[in-house]
Amino acid sequence: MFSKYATKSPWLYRINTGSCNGCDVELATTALIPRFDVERLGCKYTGSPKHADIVLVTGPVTVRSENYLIRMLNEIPDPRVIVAIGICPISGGIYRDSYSIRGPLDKHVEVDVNVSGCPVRPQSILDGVAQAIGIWKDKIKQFHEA
Amino acid sequence: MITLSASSVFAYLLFPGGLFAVLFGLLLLSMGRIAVARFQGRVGPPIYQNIFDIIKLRVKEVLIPEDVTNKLMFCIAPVFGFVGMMTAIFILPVSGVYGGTGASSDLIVLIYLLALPAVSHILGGSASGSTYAAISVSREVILMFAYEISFIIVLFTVALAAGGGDGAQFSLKGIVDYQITHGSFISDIKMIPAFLAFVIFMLATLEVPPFHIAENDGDVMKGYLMEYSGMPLALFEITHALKLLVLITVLQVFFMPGIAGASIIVNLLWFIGKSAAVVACIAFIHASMPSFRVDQAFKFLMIVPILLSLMSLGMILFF
Amino acid sequence: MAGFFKIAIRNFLNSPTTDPYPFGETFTPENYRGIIDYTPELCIGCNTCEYVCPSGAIRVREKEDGSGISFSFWLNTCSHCGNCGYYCPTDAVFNSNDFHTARHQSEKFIPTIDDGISYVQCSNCKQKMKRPVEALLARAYEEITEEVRHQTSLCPECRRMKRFERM
Repeated sequence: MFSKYATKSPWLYRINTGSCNGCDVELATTALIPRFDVERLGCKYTGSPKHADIVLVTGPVTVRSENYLIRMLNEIPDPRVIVAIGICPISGGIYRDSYSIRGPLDKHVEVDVNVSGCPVRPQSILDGVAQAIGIWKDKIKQFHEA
Repeated sequence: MITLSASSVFAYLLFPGGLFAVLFGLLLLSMGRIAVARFQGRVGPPIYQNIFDIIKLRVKEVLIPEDVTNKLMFCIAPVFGFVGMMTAIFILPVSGVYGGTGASSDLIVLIYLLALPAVSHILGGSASGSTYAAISVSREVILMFAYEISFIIVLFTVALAAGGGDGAQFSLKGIVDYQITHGSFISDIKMIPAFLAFVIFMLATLEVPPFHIAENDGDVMKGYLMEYSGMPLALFEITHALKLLVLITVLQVFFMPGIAGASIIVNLLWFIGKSAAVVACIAFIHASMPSFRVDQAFKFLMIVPILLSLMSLGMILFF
Repeated sequence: MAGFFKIAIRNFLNSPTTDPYPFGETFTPENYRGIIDYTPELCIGCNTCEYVCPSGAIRVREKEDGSGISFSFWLNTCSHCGNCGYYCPTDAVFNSNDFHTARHQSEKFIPTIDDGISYVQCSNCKQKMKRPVEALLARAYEEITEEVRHQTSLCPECRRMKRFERM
C-alpha cells in the first residue's frame, strides 16, 4: 500500500574488496562532512549487510577478498541494488592484468550502476545513488509481483 | 485498578498509547536526526524519515540465518521490548491530557517495563549466534547493571519528595498531582542532582553518544541487530522510538509536569513542545560528544549518576 | 569538550553549509580533471595518448576500411591521471570539467568517445596520408609561408622527392 514511499529510505552498505582506500575516503565524505550530506536523500550507512538496500562496492576484487565478497553479497536481502564505485570494480582499472585480481565485479554478481572515477568525486557518488534509487523502485515492484 | 473498558482499550491502542505513540515517537527520532544534522552544519533528513524507514523495512525480505542458536527466541525477542514499551506508555500520565491508569503503585511497574527493551536486545542478540551480537550483548549487560541502580535511586527520591514528608508516593498520577499543586521538581534545588542523574540514565538507555557502545557501527557493526532484517528489525526500530517517547514522558512526569492551560489541546501541544526541546538537548549532546570505552562508561555510570542521585536522596530525607 | 559545544552551537545558529547538488547547482574547480574530451580537428593520430595511458582507456587504431584513424575512449577504466592531455602535442585530448560519471550497467561497454580523423590525399600522387595540423606547424615554423603549406600537402614520399629535386 505504502511501498512507493519505501524508496525514500535507502540504507547504504559499503564493501571494500581490497581497494586503495581512495574511494572509501570519498564515500566517507559524502555522508560524514556537512558539504555533501547524503542523509538528505534519506540514506544512512548501516553496519550490518542484512540492513542494506544499496550496496556500494569499492576495490578490484582481490584473491584474498573474493570469498568474503561472495559470502557478504549472499547475506544482503532482496530487493537490493549493487553499485560499483570507482574504476577498479568496474573494469579492474590500472590493476586490470594483475595476477592477484579476480575481478571485475560483474563476474560475481549482477551490477546495476557503475560510477567511474579514480577516485570518484562525491557529487558523482550522489549521482550514482540517485540513479540506484530509480532502479531500486523497479526492483521493489518486481519483488512484490513475484 | 485497571478494568477492561472501551476507554482503556482506546488509550492502549490509539491515544496516547498505540498508534499515536508510535507515530509521535518516530517523528521525535527523526527530529533528533535533523537536530544532530543541524548541529553538525548539515541539512539532515526530512521530518518523516523514520516513518519511511519502517515502511521500507516492511517491503524487504526477512532473512533468518541458518546458524541461529535459538530460532524461536530469535523471532519473538523483538516483541518483548515492543509490548513493554506499549504498556509503559499506557500507564504513564500525560499531565492535563491523560490521567494514566491510576493504579496505586505503578511506579514500581515502571522499573520492570523500562528494563524490557534492553532485555529484548539481550535475548535477540544472544540468540542470533553472531560474534558481534555476543560482544554487544555483553556490553549492554554491563551498562544495564550500572545505569539501573541510579534510576532506581532517582525513582525513590521522586517518590519520597512527592510524598510531601509523610511516606512515599508510588502512584504516577499522585506524583503529577503533587507537582501541579506544589510546583515542579525541576525548580526545586534539592532535586537538581536527581534530574542530572536521570538525564545521564536517559542517555545511557537510549545509547546516544557518549554511551554509544553496544550498537556502535564503528566497532560492533550494529551489535545485537546484526542478524535482524525486515519486519523484526522494524519492530526494534519502533521499540527504540517508543523508548525515546517513554523516557521523555517519564522525565516530564518526574520533573516537569506543569500544565499550560485547561484545554486538552493546549496541554497536548505543550507536551509535544517540551518533548521536542528535550530531543534537541539530547541531539546537542549526541553531536558534540565522543564515545566512551565500555570500562570508562561503567566507571562513569557507577560513580557520577549514583552520587548525584544519592545527594538528592539525602537532601530529601534529612532537610 | 567545551570547544565541541561551541562549534555545535555556532553550526546550529548559522545555516547549513551543504551543497545543494543533486537538487541544484554545484561548483567545479577550474583545474578539475574530469571526463576526457577530444577535438578531432587538432588530432594528428600520433598514438602518444594510447602509449602513455596507464590504464589502457584510450585506443587509437587505423579504421577498418582504411579511411582514417579512429580514436575511442572507454570511461570505465580511465583513472583521470591527465597523462594524455599532458603529452598530447596539439592539445587535442584534454580533461574537461564534466564529472557526471555515473552510468547504468547497460552502458558499461559503450565508449564515451568514438571519433577519429580521416586521411587526406597527397596533392601529387593521390596517396592517403595523415593530414597536417595548424597547431603543429605553428610549433615547427616561425612563419608559415606558402612553400611550407605546399610541402605539407604532400605525402612523405613525394616530399622527399621534391626536396631531392631542389637540391
